[in-house]
Amino acid sequence: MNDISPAHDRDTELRHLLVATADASPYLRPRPSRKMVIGAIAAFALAGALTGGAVSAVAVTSSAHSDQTDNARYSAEGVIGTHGRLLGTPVQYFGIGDAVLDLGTAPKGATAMVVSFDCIDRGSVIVTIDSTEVQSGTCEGVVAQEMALVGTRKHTMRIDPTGTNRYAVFTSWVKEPPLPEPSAAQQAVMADGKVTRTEYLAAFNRYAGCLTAAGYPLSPVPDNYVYYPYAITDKAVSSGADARCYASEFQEVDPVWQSYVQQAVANCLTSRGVALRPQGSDLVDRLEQLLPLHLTFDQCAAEQ
Amino acid sequence: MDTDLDDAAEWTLAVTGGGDAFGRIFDRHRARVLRHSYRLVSMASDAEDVVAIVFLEAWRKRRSIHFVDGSMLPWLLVTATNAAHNLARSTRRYHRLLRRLPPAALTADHADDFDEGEAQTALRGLHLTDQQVITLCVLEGMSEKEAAAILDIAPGTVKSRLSRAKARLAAHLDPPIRLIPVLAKEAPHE
Repeated sequence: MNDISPAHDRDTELRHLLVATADASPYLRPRPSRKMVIGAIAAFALAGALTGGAVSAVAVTSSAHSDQTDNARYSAEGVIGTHGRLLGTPVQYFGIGDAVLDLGTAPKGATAMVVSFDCIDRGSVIVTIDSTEVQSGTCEGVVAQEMALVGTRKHTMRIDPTGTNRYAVFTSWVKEPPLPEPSAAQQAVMADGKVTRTEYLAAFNRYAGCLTAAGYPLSPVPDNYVYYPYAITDKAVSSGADARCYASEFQEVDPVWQSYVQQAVANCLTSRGVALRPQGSDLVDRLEQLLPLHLTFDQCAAEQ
Repeated sequence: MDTDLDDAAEWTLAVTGGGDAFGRIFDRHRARVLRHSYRLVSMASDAEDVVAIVFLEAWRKRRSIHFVDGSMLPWLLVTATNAAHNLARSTRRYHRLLRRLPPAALTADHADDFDEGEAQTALRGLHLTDQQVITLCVLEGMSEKEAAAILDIAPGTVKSRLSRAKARLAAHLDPPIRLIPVLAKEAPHE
C-alpha cells in the first residue's frame, strides 16, 4: 500500500488542536445523548464573568467565543422547521456566572424566537426570559426551544447559575410561515382513516408534482415499490418547498401507509412463526424477511 | 511516542484530560483515515478536511464511540465515510476550526497514489449505507458481526446490505470486474 505523505503543518496544527481540546476537558462529564461543544481551544471566559459579577450586557457577540456557541446555534436551527428562517442578528453569548442579556425587540416579520441554552459544564441554573422561566434546576447539555415572543416590547434574558459552570446561549428571531393545510385530495384520502396503495402512490405523485412546480423535481423513481424511496435536494428543503408540498399532499398519507405496511408484514411473518428483526430494523429490512418465505407484500396485504 | 495501550485505553486517558493520548490516537490512525478518505472524495484537500472532521467528531461523540477489540479504527472509518458523504454539512459544523488550520498541502500526487481505478469511482457513487458496509466488510476485512457492532445494526442486516451493496458496486463497474477480494474473517453467524 502506498504511504501517506509525511505530516505537514496542517497535521501538526490539527494534532495540537486535538490535544488541547482533550487537555481542556479535565474529566468526563456524564452527559448521555447530549450534544457537546468542541470548543475549549480558544481562551474562553469573559473577564466580567470570571469575576463572578453579573454581566449586565447587551447581547455579546464575540468571534472569540463562537466555537462555544456553535453547539447552541446548531441545536436552535434544529428546532425550527425547514421552512423557517432565522431573522436579524442572533445573540450569541458565552459566559460563567450571572448575566443579563438584552434580546431586543422582534423585527418585522418575526413569528417566534428560538432559544438555545448549552450547559458546557454540568450545573444548576435558572434562566428566564422576561418573566417566563425557560430552564430551571440541573442543567447539562443543550436545550433548544421555540417561544412565541413577538410584539413591540423589549425582551431580556436573565441567567442565574449556582456555580461557575460554563454555558453558551444562542437566541434568534425566527420567521416561520404557517404550513398549508392538507389539500382537498389528501383530506379525501384520509376521510376513512385508511390508505390504500393506489391512494398512497397518487398522493406521492401529487407531492412530487408540487415539488416539480416549485422548481425542485424529484429524480424518477420506480413504480413497482411497495413504497417510494425517494430523495430530495438540499435546496428543496432549504427553500421550504419540501415542507409546504409535504404538508399539503403527503404528510398525513405517508405515515399511515408505511405503518400499514409495517404491520401487515409483521402479521404475515409472526403468523408463520418468524421472529421479527430487532428494534431499529427499517421497513426495507422487514420486507426483506419475506424473501426467504417466497412471500410478496401483496400476499400479506391480502391476509389482513 | 507510542505506548503499549490499545485505543480504548488511550481514549479513556484522553477523555479524562490526557490530551497526549488523543494525540497518540491521531498519530496511529491519521494515515489510514486519510487513505480511506481519498477513496470517497475527489479532491485531496477534501480528504484532509475529512480527516480533521473525523477526529473532531470523535471528541464530540467521545462517550459513544464503539471499539472493536480495543481498536477505534473501524469507528473512525465509518465516521469518515459519513463525513465524506455529506462533506458540506460536516464542514459547516467545524468550519471555524477548519479555517484555523493551515491549508492542505499541495498533494497532487495523492490522486495517483490512491487511485484504485474503477472500483474507487464506483464506491463513490454508492449510497451511504452501501459505502459503510463495503468499507468495513470488504476494504477493512471485518466480519459481519464486527461491522454490525460498529453500525449498530443486526449482523443479518449487515449480511443483506453487503450482498446488495456488492451487487450495486458490480453494476457500477463496466465491464464487470471481480470485486475487491473479501478479506473478512468470518465470525460465526448468529
